[in-house]
Amino acid sequence: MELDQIREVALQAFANLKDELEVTIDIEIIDATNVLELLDSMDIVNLIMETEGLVEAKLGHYVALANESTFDADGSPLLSFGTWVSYIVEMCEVSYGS
Amino acid sequence: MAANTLEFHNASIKGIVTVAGDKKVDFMSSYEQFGLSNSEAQRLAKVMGLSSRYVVSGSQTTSDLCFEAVKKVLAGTNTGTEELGGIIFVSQSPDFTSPATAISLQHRLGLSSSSVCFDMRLGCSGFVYGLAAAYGFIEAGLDNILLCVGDVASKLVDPTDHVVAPIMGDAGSAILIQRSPSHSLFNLYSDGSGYDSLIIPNSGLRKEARFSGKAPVITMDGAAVFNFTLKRVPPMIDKIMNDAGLENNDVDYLVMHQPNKYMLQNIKKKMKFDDNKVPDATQSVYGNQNSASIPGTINGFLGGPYSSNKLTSLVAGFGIGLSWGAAIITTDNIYTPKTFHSGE
Repeated sequence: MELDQIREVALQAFANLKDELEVTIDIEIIDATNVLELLDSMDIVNLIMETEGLVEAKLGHYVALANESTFDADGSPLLSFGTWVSYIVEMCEVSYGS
Repeated sequence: MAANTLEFHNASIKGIVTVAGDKKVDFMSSYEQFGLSNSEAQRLAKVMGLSSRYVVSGSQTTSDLCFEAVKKVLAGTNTGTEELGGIIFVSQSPDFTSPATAISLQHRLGLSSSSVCFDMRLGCSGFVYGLAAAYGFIEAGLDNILLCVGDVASKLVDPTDHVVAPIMGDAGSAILIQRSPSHSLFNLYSDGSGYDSLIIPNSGLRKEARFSGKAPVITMDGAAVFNFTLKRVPPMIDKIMNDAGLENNDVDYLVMHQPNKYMLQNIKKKMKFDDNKVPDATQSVYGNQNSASIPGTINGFLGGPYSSNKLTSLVAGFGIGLSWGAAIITTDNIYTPKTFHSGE
């Protein structure tokens, strides 16, 4: 999937969860949005699950998006929405490679 | 051989029995006691896979559950207490800080005073560590030894803590290990730098200012434990598979500690194991059984296959410590009845 498609998927995951999340998201999600600060840990896992489901539906196979740095205050791919999208692209490419 | 690799050739499991708490608690009927709204409860249920759990209804301790399990595993394998060389009791909820609970069990069960009995203070990695220790005693000369693992964790939580309290189940397992030709491989790991990620503060002699005034109940940094699991478990599984020279197809079951459905799914998919080889429902049905979660999963969901086949299993435990370990073991038609509930 291309970067724009992934961005669409990542935004769709937020939209799908808007009634389930602990916080009300009343801001526009842009590349600079710090997702790790925006959501609590349970919502982060919920968002990852939702995004994984959408990616799997598009690609036809599962791509794991959680890793050991998911909640790392310095290295999490969720420190900004832009890095989150890039990270998903990278994980999709890795999954094709394997 | 690497420092953390242990290999055994003459020890195997003869039977596994798990006794869970007698009281079923449905999560969606009890969420209000944790101060959760319906939507918060639904969110937790979805992400963690929470549905029900079994806890003790009375004053039973972990050793009481294990005592029941031992009686059943001895009866089911036609083994007399006079044949037992010892008991290893692995738990974070002993009867007393001292003396060791294994020694009380020796007396209650009527084992000889020449038996080897001691405790190991570990949590979710405890089954794998205890099994390695038990196999070591068999390899060194004992003919039979009991491994008792479990926790009554429902009594180690703040009942209003919605992060920890709703996930804990109570269970005790008894595993009978015998001298018999069987190849097994263990990798064991520890990292004390994460000792405070999952901790019962003020439960021993050390007092830390940051825990001043806090009750001695399980306290979890969920994000740190999440990161730890996904950092340590996949490479551990990879390594032991490589050490053993096995491919995924060679392993009949990957039985992991059961923290929550999402983590198990993530690891299973990352490691490219088929869904039917990796049970993941224990947390949803019984709650987090801590060191009894691996035997509890076998009794709860895999009793049929284990009691009627020769199987190669990869077992993996990980958690408080931080401590983690994996083993490749072979079992051959072992005694594995369905999980009992205390008093049955």
